[in-house]
Amino acid sequence: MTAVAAGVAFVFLLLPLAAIFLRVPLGDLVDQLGNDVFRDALVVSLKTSLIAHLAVLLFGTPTAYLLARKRFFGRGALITLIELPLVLPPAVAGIALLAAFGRFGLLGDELDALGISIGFTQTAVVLAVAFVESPFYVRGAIAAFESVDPDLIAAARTLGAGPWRVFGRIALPLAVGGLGAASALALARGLGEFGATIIFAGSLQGVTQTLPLAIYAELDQDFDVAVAISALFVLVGAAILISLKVFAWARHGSISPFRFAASTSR
Amino acid sequence: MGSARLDITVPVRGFDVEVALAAGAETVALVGPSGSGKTTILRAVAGLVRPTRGRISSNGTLWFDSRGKVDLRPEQRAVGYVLQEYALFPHLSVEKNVAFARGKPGDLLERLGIAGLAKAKPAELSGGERQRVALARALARRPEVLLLDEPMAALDPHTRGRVRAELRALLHELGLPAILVTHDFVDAAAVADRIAVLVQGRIVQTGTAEDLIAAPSSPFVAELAGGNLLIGDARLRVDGLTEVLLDGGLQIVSTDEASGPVGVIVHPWEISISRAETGDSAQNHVRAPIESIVPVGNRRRVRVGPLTAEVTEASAVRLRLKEGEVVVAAFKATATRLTPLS
Repeated sequence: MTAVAAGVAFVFLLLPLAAIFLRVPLGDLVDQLGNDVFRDALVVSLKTSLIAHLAVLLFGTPTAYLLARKRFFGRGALITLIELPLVLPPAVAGIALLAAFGRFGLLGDELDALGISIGFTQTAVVLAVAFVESPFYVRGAIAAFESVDPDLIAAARTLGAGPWRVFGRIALPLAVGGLGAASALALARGLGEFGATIIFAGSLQGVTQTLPLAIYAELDQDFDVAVAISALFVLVGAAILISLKVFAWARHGSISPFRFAASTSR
Repeated sequence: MGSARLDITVPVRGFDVEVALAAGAETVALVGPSGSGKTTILRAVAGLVRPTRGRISSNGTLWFDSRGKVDLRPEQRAVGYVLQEYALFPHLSVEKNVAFARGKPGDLLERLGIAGLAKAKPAELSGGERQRVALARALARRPEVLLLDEPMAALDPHTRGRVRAELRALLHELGLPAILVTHDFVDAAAVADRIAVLVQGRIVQTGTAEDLIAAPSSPFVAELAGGNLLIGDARLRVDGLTEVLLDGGLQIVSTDEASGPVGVIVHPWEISISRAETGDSAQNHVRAPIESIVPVGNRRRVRVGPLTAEVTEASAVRLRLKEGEVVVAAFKATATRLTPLS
């Protein structure tokens, strides 16, 4: 019985993915991806998700370190707030961003006075992507920093290291595996962002049209291009997952106490 | 010469740790059961937890004063802290672990006999080697005060005796105020100059190991100190055993290896008492009159010559033990621990 259930589940999950590659064989992929819509979307996607991702790393890493290390009143509530976008429909995130930064939003007048208009620009794409992917990164980063033995931090401090040195020489290198995994998952999530972007930034080719938005736009223009972009996502996603597993496996191997046991140079 | 003083109150889960302690150029051991607040005291001295009341000073410099609002950060206090399990940085080599304190690692690695391990990672080291790296790292900062948290707990029993002697010699040579935390009275007796017994956050008795064994202030200290400490001169025999000529003229045999002046430690529950020397496997027999019989819980502590033995109430009754009567106290060579005293 369980084998049958597992079989049904596997077929259900794999059949649609296989259908993509049956429709557009790998050989034809390059041809299909030669068109303008795809190339414009690729540039927009790479640019916006790279900027958004760097911002998430830059602000998310210290935030996660702080939340992992300090115990203070309201810490649990703060973590829950950071996690909230995880369970929100991306469309709600889009509406929320519009309500905050849109022309008629909370900060609309102030931004207008400064001559800044965010809605339906590439800045809006960056904000939407960062908003949606940051909880993925921060959650993983908190776990990564929490797994660093607090005694190592204590030892570093008693050895004369100030907070920055402790962070840079001890906490960061020891958490780097978990941070890398969280970063990769967040990046993948950001690349796939659709709902918040289409609401907050729209879908202007060459400006705000990212790859997922291009799939949607090509749906009734050229179905094969939509399928080809999807195929690309499947390949990139698989590459990210496989590299994460290989990375985790290699790391796990290297911290095993037995690895050097037979060849110590004493 | 250095000195460290503390008089602090630190709340822990369920009770307050409240201690006053002063150490000159000597090693003071804090001995007590787990959860008695030993580690909390070290963490307070290092600046990792903040006491609610009191003062901590080193060489006359205030590190903490609850009234004067002095509270130096850990990185500003000249402590050498060997944490429990050593807390070596797993991603750094031995050399870089020691250099982390911005000292000169070369000399210290040489001094502690680990220069050959400079490039090794902590995961590749044995327990004894890790302890030496942790010591080298703690000393690299030129500390005014040394804090040692269970430095022997992670060692296997075979290396413990040797490491105790090495640590004792090193601490003497350094001449720094050192606070050693351990749950093992034998470790404390072997390494420290003075022992403070900590129970539920309070020091219940302070003294030398001999003081605590000879005149425990409470049944708890008696229980903890329990061990017999006999002083004598050790000599290795050809059969691999060690023969110790005790100061009182008695001779005993031990499976621990040592030579020169040693302390012999035997737990009272390892000593059996009989009316006559029997053909048992014990190598050591002491024939002497009973000096005292003291009840401790459901047992009797029987003082025979230089030894304290512990027997059940039932055995004491069956053997009709009485003060002044001559009995034989026996213990196996394997039940003895030797700690070098030089």
